[in-house]
Amino acid sequence: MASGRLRRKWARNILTVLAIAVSFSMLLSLSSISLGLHRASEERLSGSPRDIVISSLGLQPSIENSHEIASELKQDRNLSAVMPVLTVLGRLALDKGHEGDVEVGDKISLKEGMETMTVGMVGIVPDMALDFMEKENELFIRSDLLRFNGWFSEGSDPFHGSNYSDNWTGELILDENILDEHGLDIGDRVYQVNGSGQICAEYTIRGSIETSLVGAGLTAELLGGIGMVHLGELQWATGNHKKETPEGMTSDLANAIYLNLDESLATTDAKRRYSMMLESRFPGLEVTSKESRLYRIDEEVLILEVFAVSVAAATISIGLLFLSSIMIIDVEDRKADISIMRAIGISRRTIFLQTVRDSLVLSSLGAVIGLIPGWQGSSTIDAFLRELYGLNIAFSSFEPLVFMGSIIYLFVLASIFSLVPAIWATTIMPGSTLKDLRNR
Amino acid sequence: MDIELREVSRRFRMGETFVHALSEINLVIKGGEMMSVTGPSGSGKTTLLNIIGTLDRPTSGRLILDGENVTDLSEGRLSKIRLTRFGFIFQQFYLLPTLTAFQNVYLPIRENGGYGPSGKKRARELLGIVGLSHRMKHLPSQLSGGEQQRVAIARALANDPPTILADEPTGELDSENSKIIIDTLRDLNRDTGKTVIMVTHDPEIARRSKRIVRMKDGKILK
Ligand SMILES: Nc1ncnc2c1ncn2[C@@H]1O[C@H](COP(=O)(O)OP(=O)(O)O)[C@@H](O)[C@H]1O
Ligand SMILES: [Mg+2]
Repeated sequence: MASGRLRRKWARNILTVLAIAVSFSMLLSLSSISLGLHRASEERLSGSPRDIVISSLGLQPSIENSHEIASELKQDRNLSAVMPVLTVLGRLALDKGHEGDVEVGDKISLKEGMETMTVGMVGIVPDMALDFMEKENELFIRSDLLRFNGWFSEGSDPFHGSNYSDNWTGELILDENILDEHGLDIGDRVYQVNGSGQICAEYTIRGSIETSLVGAGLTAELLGGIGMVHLGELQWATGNHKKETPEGMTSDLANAIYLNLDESLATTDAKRRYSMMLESRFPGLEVTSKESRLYRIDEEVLILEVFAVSVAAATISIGLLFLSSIMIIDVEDRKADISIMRAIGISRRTIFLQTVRDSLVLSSLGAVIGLIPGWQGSSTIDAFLRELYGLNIAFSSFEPLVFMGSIIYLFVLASIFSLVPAIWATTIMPGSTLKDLRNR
Repeated sequence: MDIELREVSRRFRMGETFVHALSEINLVIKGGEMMSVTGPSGSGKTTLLNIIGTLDRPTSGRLILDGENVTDLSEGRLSKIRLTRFGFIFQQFYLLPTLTAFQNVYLPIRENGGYGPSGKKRARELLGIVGLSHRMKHLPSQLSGGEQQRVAIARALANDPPTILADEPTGELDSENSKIIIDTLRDLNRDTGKTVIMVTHDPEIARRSKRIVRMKDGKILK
């Protein structure tokens, strides 16, 4: 009979510990997310993200006369750097058998068995890109860091300058990963393949880009890497130099114009004002910044934080209510024992503390078990939020502070929730139940 | 310790009516006495012992310990009195079932501030005195009735109280074990001068005390 009772107690104690573990892991992950979100918006304030991006709304490049607009903006003393960018998913063919020179305007069929690869092609104006570099060889675009080995020898965009007819440089800076994967070297030639599967342009590899530091992991994995060329040449190779649209003839198309505000304007307010000015100047285009995306988070942070904190508080309370009722059952079970203890002079204080201590022991076990799932949960939510906002920042902050804070919170609440059973335990009188005991 | 009851009554409510378990009891027990309380079942013996041991309060009348009226002391004070001035031995032993023999004895020692090595040593010594050195780690359920009652005696002696209250301590035991318990109590009275107040049905056992108090219907027979 005694062992049966013990087993039953075991089961319920394990369940109690599990209930606390579940709620504690919830508390842990939600508070680390809360803190992480807090840190993220702090980062917005402390860092000086000066970037603004004017971009096409759809996937198709829709910024016309991008070179011209960029040069115009460059005159603006409020801007320290301006650069038009065309990004397209391109196909490059490898020059394994020396296919020979490709002249501007050539359209050569792909040979049987020619190796091709998909590359995220980025067209830029090298000299303009230099303005964005805070360190030599390092280009920060949005939250991504690109590190270069080798650079364009032609800083301007001469092919565009000749109205897409002459001065083809063919300079290409290719992702290190692609070089490694396909056994390519500086000086090797590759060809651009157009939509109809014909070779239409020729590039020579002039350098490499280290993109392991690029934040958005998913796109990097899908593409395999990026390649940078002169903007005009990419426009020409992809038909974005001149394009017929229902609205008429368009030319010099780009997806985006990257801007850096001058140091003097790098306050949140000035930046917002400048962004609004750009919005009215470029209707139909989107004006965003890392900051504006962070700003969006900021508004949602509060909601998320309130939500996280209330869910955490609710779950931990449920866990502890469970503990509380189990402790009451426990006191009920130990009524006879407590009565004996009171009879031989054990004080109410001791009995009170004993009950509280039992609660804390169960809570500690729950905390230990809940630690790993709590951490797991926090990193899962973190990954989800990174994906959601497309920002490579830590949304969760799983650190000793969170752990200690949660532990203290748990213990304080556990103590409070064990008050009812503990106080109730002290009301058991020494003599009264001895009589009942005798008759049991 | 001298114990004095003055006009002590205790009645229990039983639905509409009252049960007069004790009626105006006057009793003086001098320190060092060995006293037996006898009487038919329901005559109020246990109630008397509980009131002496402050487990219960009289409905009226006073309990005086060494000249101090303790009748209306707070629960906390009474708890301390039970811890230090009384040792309790019950018919059903009332050991804590989840604690080992050693822990059962150590519990009141620790409660009285005797934690640490010296307190533990005392618990071991007491178990040695009742001949249970080899049963320290046993749970009550693993002990015989006689052994359990000896653990209870060791526990009663934990804080070296001047008075031992034993309510039918041999009621659940065979004659051999009964003899050991009664001998132990008598030795305690004789060798250490502790007051021993013992409730018993058994006239043989009662006869071994110098003083016998006979009860009937909540009164002491003269
Ligand atoms: N807690 C109680 N509630 C109600 N009646 C009680 C209680 N304790 C004792 N009594 C009654 O008081 C009387 C004396 O009981 P008790 O002191 O236990 O007698 P004894 O120990 O001599 O057998 C009995 O009639 C008993 O039923
Ligand atoms: Mg009785």
